[in-house]
Amino acid sequence: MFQFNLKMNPKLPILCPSCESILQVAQLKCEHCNTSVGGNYALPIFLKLLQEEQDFMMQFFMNSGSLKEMAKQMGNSYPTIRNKLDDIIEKLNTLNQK
Amino acid sequence: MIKPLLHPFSIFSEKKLLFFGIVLTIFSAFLASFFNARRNGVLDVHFVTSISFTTALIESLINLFILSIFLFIAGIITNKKTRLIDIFITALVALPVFLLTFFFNINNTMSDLGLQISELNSNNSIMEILLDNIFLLLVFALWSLLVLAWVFILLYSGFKVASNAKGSKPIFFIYWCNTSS
Repeated sequence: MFQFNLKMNPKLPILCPSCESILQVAQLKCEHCNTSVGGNYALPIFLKLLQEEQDFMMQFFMNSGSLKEMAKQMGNSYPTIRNKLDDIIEKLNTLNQK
Repeated sequence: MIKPLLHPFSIFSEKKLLFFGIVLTIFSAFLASFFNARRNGVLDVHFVTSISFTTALIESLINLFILSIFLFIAGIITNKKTRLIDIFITALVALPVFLLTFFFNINNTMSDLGLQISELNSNNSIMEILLDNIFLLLVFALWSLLVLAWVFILLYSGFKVASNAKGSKPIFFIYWCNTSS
């Protein structure tokens, strides 16, 4: 008998696979006592970003906002990193207006 | 492998690109004086009988500053956050690529051919041009087109990174900058 021990790290889906609208949270569950809370909660704005963009934001935060340091770590030039940040800021502004 | 050659601006830091660009500009001026190539226009290479290193360097610097100014204006129109150093580096790295055409003037081959063609043209006997010379002109024309394409790709990718321009904007601005300067 074969046993597969795949460690999956599922990504949080943020877009509806059917109509591509932004998904909302309908249920939250306590892992300790199995209590479930149902409702209709909007996703926090940072979770509406793509995983890649969230990782970028995390790295930006962990580097104390130093784009130069990030450019070194990511093997990209400074303006490339700054452009990515500008694109994310623009996306957050658009999401905020919605 | 090909990315550093076509899109160096998204990989290397500005310090490395600045150093590399300065070395390339000086080297291209040296080669221009060695092979008698004049660059008295941003998109211009022609061959003469002699040119000093100082003149070649001054011409390179004039081209560099004119192109940088036009690119910077285009960059500011596209994105107010555009930095002059990124634009300057784009021009600094892209323009010396023209040195790849200089080698055609070994022993004044191209400048002599140019004189010969203008002489034949003035005598209304252009059809007497030798087949070997036509072949050389064809190879030079094709090679020049490849070099020009490389310069445009470098200017495009550099401007795109420097100004975060999207869509067809960089193509339009690169065309505008090169035709204006």
